[in-house]
Amino acid sequence: MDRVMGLPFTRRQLTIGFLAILVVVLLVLPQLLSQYWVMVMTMTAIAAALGYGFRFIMIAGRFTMGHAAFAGIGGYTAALFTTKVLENFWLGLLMGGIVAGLVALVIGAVVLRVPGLMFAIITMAVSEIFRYLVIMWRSLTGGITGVLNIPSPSIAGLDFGIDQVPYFYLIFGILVVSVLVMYRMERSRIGLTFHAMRQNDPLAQHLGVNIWRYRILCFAVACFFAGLIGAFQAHYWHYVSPATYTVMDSFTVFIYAYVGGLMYPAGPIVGAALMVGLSEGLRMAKEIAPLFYGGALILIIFFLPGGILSLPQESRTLLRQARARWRSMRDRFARAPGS
Amino acid sequence: MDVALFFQAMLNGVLLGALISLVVVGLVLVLGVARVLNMAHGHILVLGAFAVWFFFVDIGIDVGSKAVNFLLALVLGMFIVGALGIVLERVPFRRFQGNLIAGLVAAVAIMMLIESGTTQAWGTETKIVGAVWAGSTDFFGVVMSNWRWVVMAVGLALMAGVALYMQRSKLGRAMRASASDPEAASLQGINPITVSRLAMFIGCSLAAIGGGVMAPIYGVDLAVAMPWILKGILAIVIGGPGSLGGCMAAALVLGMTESYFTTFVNPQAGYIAMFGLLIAVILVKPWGLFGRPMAGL
Repeated sequence: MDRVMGLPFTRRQLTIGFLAILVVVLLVLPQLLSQYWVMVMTMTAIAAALGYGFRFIMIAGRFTMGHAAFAGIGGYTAALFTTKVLENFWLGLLMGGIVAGLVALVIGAVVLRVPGLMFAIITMAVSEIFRYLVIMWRSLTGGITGVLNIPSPSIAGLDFGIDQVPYFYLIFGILVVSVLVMYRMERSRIGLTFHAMRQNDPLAQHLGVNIWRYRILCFAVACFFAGLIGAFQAHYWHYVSPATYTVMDSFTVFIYAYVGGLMYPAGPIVGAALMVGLSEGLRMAKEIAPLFYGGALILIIFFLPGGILSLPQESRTLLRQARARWRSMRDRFARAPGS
Repeated sequence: MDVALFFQAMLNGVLLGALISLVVVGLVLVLGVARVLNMAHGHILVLGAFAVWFFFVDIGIDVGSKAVNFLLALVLGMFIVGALGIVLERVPFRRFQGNLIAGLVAAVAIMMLIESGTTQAWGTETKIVGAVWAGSTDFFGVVMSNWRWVVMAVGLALMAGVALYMQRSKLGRAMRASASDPEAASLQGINPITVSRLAMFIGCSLAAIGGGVMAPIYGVDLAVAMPWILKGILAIVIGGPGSLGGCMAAALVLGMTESYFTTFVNPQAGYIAMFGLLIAVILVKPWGLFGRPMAGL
């Protein structure tokens, strides 16, 4: 049992303690901040949850460019449910997730056999097909205008209304649940097979891993949660439209995960917090935001390809290299002629 | 069924196919030689449209007849965007050769930079470029605007030109050699950097020309960037990354598909049909109809 820096705690205890404090802070903050900042926190939570799902699929070795579309499937399902069938948000939420998960299951079963690059392109194709299907099926989905006047969620008859705070608690709850589920999966034997598949497909197969089944499972789970988030979004913004879920939005999800660090579980969350927090927090105009995102991306690819969370590792390596270089220079001059 | 409509759709399909071809050639060349899938190609096409608008409409250069002005704007745009392509090759793409996710990330970054750059400089409204030759021509019952005939001719001519260039000229063959086996090619004395730059320049120039001639039809607007890169990607995946001719053929097929579905069903169905075609092809032949499995993909 190794202690951290001489303190009487294990690494595990420190992490859990830190997370507990973080959760408490995040639960208390909305009561203290203005509505605008609570909105920023809500948007960050949405981004973080989507990013985490993206990373989950990435761990199993597949790059999906359709994550926003699955959120869209969830969003539209929930929206149509609460506006046309039964005005029960919680059922709608569940339906959104389930439908998204089922669609992912079906599509995945067919499409996950294909090499990684082709799969990425097919997910792009699926995203666009979804968007155009929605536009075409005007009678059901309202076409380009989308579904409007989606009701607010309500608990025990109390409507959420326009207060930002309950929405944040809700999405925070969804975020925590999805992260917990996916994190536990990643740390279990199932997660080990994901990592194995990502690193070497044929080898994993030779070792007896049914890569198809596990990959489909991974994809379906991540898309289920994406559907939940989409359903939340629909009832948060009170409308859904085809323009909300494009390939560019999937790219943005990818960026959150990448900037934070793809290999770290906390990566997407850190990335989302950074990108959304900065761009909304600094009240960047709509035109400057792409510049900021693009610039941040370029900085990360060039200087820190492992993402922000790889900073401690990278700086340690740099430090070590610098120290070694210094030592060799010093030794060389110590042995200079004349000594 | 209305025969004239049928032929109209066919001609429109050829037009679209030629345009998609201009995009896909750039993608194939860059993928084969520089070994990067340039997702930003659609934005480069729109940059070409912006360049033409800038020289032809905004500044309004005037050296002779309208046609000459447009041509000059087109050529200027081509060189500027081509040069930009060389810069792109040097800075991000060469570093991320071999198709890492990093290449995609770099392309996304470039797209965002282009987007914010153009909106900062010129605003977000769609800009209009007037066609050089207005009016339409009736060709055996098929009516198409004059400018579309011109675009079709230009597109087909460029397709043929590129094909000939790659087959016959020394540099063309150098590019094909480098795409097929970079090590062997360098052993033959082909400088991979030069060839990379050339591929990027040709690809981006073609896209710029495509964007420029498309401007009177579609308007100058960033919104068209994404659909065009998607169509280009469809073409390159259906055709097969290694085969230029295959991708051009795929581009034509895609153009026809879109045209027929758009004419006889509705525009969204056209789009969906193209993607459906992609999925069908990938499931049967994951490397495309004419492609060979590429190492490192």
